[in-house]
Amino acid sequence: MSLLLSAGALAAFQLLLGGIAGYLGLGLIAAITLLACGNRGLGAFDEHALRNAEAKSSIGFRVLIFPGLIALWPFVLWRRWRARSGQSVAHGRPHIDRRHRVSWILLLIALPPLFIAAMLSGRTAGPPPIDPQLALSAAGAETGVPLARVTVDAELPEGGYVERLQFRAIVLRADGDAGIWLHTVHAAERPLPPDTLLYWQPNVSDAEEFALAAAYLLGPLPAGEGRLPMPAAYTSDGMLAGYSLARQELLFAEALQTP
Amino acid sequence: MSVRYKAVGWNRQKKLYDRVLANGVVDNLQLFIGITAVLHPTATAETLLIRSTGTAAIILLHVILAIGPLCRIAARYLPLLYNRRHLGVMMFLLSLIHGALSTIQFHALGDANPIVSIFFAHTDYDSLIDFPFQTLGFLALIIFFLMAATSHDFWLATLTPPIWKGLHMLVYFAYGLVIMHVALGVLQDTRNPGFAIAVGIGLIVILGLHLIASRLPSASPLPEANGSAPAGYEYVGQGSEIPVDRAKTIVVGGERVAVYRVGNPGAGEADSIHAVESVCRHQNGPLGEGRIVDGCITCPWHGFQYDPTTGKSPPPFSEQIRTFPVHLDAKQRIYIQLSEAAS
Repeated sequence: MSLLLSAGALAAFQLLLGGIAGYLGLGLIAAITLLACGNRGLGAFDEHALRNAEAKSSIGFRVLIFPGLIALWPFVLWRRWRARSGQSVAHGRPHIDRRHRVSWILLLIALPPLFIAAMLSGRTAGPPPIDPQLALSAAGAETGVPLARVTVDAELPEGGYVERLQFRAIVLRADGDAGIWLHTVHAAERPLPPDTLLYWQPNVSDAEEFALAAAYLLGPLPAGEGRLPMPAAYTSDGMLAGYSLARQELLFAEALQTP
Repeated sequence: MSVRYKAVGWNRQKKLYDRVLANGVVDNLQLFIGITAVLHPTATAETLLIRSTGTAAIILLHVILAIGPLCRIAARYLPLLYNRRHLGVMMFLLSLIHGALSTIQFHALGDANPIVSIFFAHTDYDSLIDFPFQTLGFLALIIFFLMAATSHDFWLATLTPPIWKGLHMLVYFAYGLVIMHVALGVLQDTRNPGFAIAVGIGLIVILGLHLIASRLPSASPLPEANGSAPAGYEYVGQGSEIPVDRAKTIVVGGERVAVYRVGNPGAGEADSIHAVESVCRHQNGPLGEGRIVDGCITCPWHGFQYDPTTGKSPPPFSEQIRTFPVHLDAKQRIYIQLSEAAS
């Protein structure tokens, strides 16, 4: 969805995550304080707890309720405040709950069709292959002198959620900069394995000759567009490889092609 | 019950139950890992753990959700209900391991926040084919966390039963999320239809059991008057209709009343009849579906007990339910006075 793909959505999500982290941080402080106060902290609103100080102070009990205190600390503090100010919390008259039935009827209506639709939908083979002749469209690439390029289109072994890795890369000497960079543009339609490290080995043109131990580590394959510095020993003959930390295996090894 | 909190209220049966549960989970993990390692020798240890814990968690979730309706259908499953909480916590721990390892393996080694990566690494939210299924599992895990974190009775008292129950009923939503997480994830990836068939059968069983249970009569309306009722009393049935040490539940004015017949074996006295509200103070359990144990009405859900005469829990506990005056005539016709409930 375009909304979720937008940078605004990403920023909003990161803001939300920050808010949740702050909430949980405050919860940690509140939980430690409540547990440190023992019965005065927890039992003020709980008549049953007040009757047994020994049970309240058991380490096992505190450990068990600790995560809940972090997550629900405003409610606990509110109950405590109500109790201290002499206001009781209405428990309501016990009643038979009909929400079970409503929930299951909703699941009964919605879940089977969704499940069947998911099963009838097959995985696609991914987007069309990248045209090897296609020039990099990245603005940054145009500002340097292209030295070599490579197109990676690798089928990945089974066992991961990403079936195919596709990206283009160009080695360039940036204008006004003595450094040499590897500029990568990942195929936007497909996710990339975030654990992929890029390696470069000079003076090798055959995948069978590639040796990880002799290669330079460039860094993690960036999402979208990104630049990684090439080592000073860069020569035009060399091979780019991707290594998966999670799988602990080489995903691809491609020779750089001089334009 | 409510008089004191312990970390875990273990007794001999619960220890046995937990031992069986732990052994079952360990055996399941070992079996799954062993078979997968043979069939897929290239799979890494992390992958084996992700798959085995995920599989064990979804099996446990189905068992947990089947227990409730099974107990409605047949009382012999009630012992499973008493200990369902431990199953839930175990299921959460397995889900947590599954989720944590998946996040580390697929999202934690890049340059983005792993949680951001879960939601934004793959954004075909409008596609059933490439839907980012991991987001569904993540949301379900948050619900399971809230449920496990508030599973202690302390939280029941703190949150109050209606809120606590509402929170824990999110399990139905989480079940839907988990089924779609599996369907849009591993089931679309695998070429083996056996997995899809297994999950489909699980779905049919769970929904079917709830459908069957929901159609069982849980309470009767007030029967038509039989003979002349004393002033202020309502006729609720014959004493012989109710099995000894069991109850008949009737609905009056939207309220459920459990009419219990308490047997007096060997005492030379007739069985006694008692009417109480049919809602347990613990988690609103159906007291009318319970039975008399040691002279007390015992809730079928978690074993909370009440004296049928006074409605009070036996000392040192303090819960109390309402009772209703009962009149039993010479023909064993039962009448109760609903307006005079004592609380």
